[in-house]
Amino acid sequence: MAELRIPIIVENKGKKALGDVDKGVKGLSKSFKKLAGAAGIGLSTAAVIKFGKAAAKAFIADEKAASRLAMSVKNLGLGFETPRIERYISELSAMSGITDDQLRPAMQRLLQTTGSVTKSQELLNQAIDISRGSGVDYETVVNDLSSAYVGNTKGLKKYGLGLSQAELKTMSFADVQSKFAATFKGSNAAYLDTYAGKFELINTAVGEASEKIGGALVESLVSAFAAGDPEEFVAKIEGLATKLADMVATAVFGFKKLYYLTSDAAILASLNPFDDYENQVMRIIDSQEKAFKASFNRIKMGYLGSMPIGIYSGAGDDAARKKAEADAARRQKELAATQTKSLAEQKKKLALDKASKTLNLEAIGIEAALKGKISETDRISLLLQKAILEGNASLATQLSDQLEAAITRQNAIRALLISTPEAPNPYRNWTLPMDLLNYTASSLGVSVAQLQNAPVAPSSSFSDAEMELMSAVNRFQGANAQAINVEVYLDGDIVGGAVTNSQINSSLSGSFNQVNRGNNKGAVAL
Amino acid sequence: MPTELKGANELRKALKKFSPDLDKATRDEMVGFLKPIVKLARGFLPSNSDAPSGFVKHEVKTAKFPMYDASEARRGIGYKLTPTKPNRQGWSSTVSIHNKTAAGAIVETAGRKSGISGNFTPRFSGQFAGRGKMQGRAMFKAYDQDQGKAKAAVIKALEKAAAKFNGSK
Repeated sequence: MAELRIPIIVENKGKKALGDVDKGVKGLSKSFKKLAGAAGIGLSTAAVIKFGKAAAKAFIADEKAASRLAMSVKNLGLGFETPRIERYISELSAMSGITDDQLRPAMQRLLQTTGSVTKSQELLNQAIDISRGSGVDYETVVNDLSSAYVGNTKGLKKYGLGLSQAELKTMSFADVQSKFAATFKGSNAAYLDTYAGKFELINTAVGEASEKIGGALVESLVSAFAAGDPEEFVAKIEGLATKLADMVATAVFGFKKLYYLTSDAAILASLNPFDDYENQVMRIIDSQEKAFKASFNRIKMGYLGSMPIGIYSGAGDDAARKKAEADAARRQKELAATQTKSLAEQKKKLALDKASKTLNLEAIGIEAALKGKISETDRISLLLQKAILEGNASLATQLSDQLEAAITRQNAIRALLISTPEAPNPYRNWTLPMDLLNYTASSLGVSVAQLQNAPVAPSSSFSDAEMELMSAVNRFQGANAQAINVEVYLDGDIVGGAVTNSQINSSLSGSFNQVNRGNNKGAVAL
Repeated sequence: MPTELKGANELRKALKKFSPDLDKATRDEMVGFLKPIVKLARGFLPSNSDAPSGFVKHEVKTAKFPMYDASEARRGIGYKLTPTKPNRQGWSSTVSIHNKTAAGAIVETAGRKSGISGNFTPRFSGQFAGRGKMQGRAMFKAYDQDQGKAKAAVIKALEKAAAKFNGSK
């Protein structure tokens, strides 16, 4: 972000828009160049030689892989299946755009895992769909599938099947396969419909053609037989190679014949009319040559004249195939059984773990409860639970007895409490002592009978203590519900009256002889 | 937004090769429209005393954050009349204005995304102008204030040159 720029006038070079197509076209043209190189079209000798070397290398690598696969198949007791497997790989490569370099090791791996050609072919096919659909490279998919076949589903998480690790673990391989089929079926066909897919298909086909052309004779033969289309050219090269090999063999064996015919023994034999040395030597060398050529050009799969070789399997082969398939099926069953057993074990373990966790939680709960303020019964009950959890049988029995005794005790106490009569008021029979009554009556200036029957009227002569006593007596008699009039006396008058008189006296003025007021209130002495 | 002018690069090449005088005249004309924006943009850059003190170039042993020097930052603002290398989408700028230095770019854009807050961005006195990715304190502000006049003039100059060149053939 160091440089900021305002483009005022711009122009699009259109690089990116055509970039992808360019790339594809370049790739394709490269492949066609290779093929053209094989056919010797428009290329220099150096280029042809270069191609020849590359083709030879590819051929050697391809042959190595084929040999490894063949050996692996042979070791599995399925040697007779090699031509069928090779043809299947070749066809699958042409159809799917996956090179045989990738298919051969994949097939080998699957064969080693499943032991069945049919199952391996099925998985090989499915792996293509999975690879195209998920974007995971083909080799990884095959490895994951073969791992899943033996119950290791760890690698399947990345395909986004919408299954948890636990679910994947509990699924059988058949379920995994159907899940894959449901998710990715038809992905390869869809991919091959795209331009990228078509380019890849063509590239693969061209690469395969290049491998076929590879070999020691290619370099010298390409320039001589340049014309024609690639397939014809390949056919020609194959024919030529066979012929050349024949020629070489004929020449070598011809030299051998010449060597023996010019030897001392032959010369001596020629002088002896009864010696058939030359003819014998010729017959022997001819038979050797024939045997060599037969072994060199042995047809692995095809027709020798009208006789089919390697195409139709014999009864023995069929039996061997059946046996291998049965073995594979048995093995799959065994694997499934092992997996089921393992799953059952896992389930048991999970249940135990869960139970153990539950117990732990219970123990924690008991400990927490024991720390609180609880009754004796509750305490014994909790301790008993703890003992049961811990599996302490003797303590549990002991505590159980204690709990029983505690419950019995508790029940007895409860029954006792229920049967206890209602408690009477302990003060109900209490009476005021006579002397106290006499004292109160005399203090308040009333008789004892008055004191008991009527409220005591307040008096201005009551001291504070007497006032309190009066209140208490009146309260006792229920007189507290009545209104209490409080009168405060000042200079012998009730305070209210005294105040009024004083106010009247202050407010009056003027002179008059007499103001008539009731009870002489407000009278002013003039 | 930039304007696409198809064949502008080829026209500049052709002018340079076959009509150097016309090329020079076109170039001078375009420079005449771009220079005022550059000058204005340079003016919007703060002086060293107005920039945050810690940001101004000083002696430090380990300096990773770019340090501001007004004269250097001002020199970093300029124009370019030759096509740039196409980007990944294939776009090449025929005529452009640039703010090259890192410190200048910081002054231009600091706080544009995160807002004027904290201890650094509020110390820049200039206000932002423009919108979105074309928002800034110096070059973008000057370009915004120009209101596309320079762009129109540059296009016109190129079109005029193309017409002259085609007419002279």
